[in-house]
Amino acid sequence: MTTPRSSNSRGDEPWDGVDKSPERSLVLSIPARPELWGLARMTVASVASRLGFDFEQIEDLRLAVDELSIACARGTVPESVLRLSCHWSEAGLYLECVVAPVTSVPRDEEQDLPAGLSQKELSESILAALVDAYGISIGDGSCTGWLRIAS
Amino acid sequence: MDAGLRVQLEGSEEVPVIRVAGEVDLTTAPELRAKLAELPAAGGTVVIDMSEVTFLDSTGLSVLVASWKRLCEAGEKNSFRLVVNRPAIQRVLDVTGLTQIFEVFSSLEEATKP
Repeated sequence: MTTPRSSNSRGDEPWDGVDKSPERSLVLSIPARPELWGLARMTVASVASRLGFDFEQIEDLRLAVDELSIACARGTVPESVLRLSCHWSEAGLYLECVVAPVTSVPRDEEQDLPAGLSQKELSESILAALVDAYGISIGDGSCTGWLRIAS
Repeated sequence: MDAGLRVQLEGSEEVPVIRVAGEVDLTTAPELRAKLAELPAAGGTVVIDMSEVTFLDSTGLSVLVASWKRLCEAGEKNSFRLVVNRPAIQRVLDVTGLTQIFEVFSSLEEATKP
């Protein structure tokens, strides 16, 4: 496993032993263009609904997967692809978002905003509040983000 | 795919109201930023009516923060008010702590009171 060039996470590592069997998984692969991320939000909402998540939890997940996509898609190029994998079990839902290829992480364009209020910091606050654990790492020309939320 | 965003400048000269409806995300946030940039530089009270916003992410929030900052810099007595009545939108403001810096109202009537 390649050592990430940079990473950010809250909580522990991704679920040990995530069940990635096909009958408990869904994979969506789309061009990494923001106008298509509504598909990712809809996909996750649909899976969560089938798992019995309530309305508020589904709204949280829609927002969380959007923030994960934003975080992973910094530094995309026109041919970049976003691959969203959803895996579920009785314990809850595990999502992994991989965007590739990506170039270097661009600098924050909102450095002039007050501390804690840049887009990146707001995004981190949202993820930290809405999910049980998440992580983002960059390396090998791709960016990988994950999150998990208990059912 | 995109649920779209509608942004309209309404209200009076004294209290301009930006009415926002739809989803504010990475795709649509620039439209909101452009409309907020049309607000009078002198400031005063500005109301952003978000009662018909169905989705708001960190890119939309950062547009609001930038506008709030610009208004604050224009004058200490300027007021940046949001109208929010959807729990999902209120929640994202709560978890980011932005309810500490924005004035949040549950109705346009309340927000436009002097």
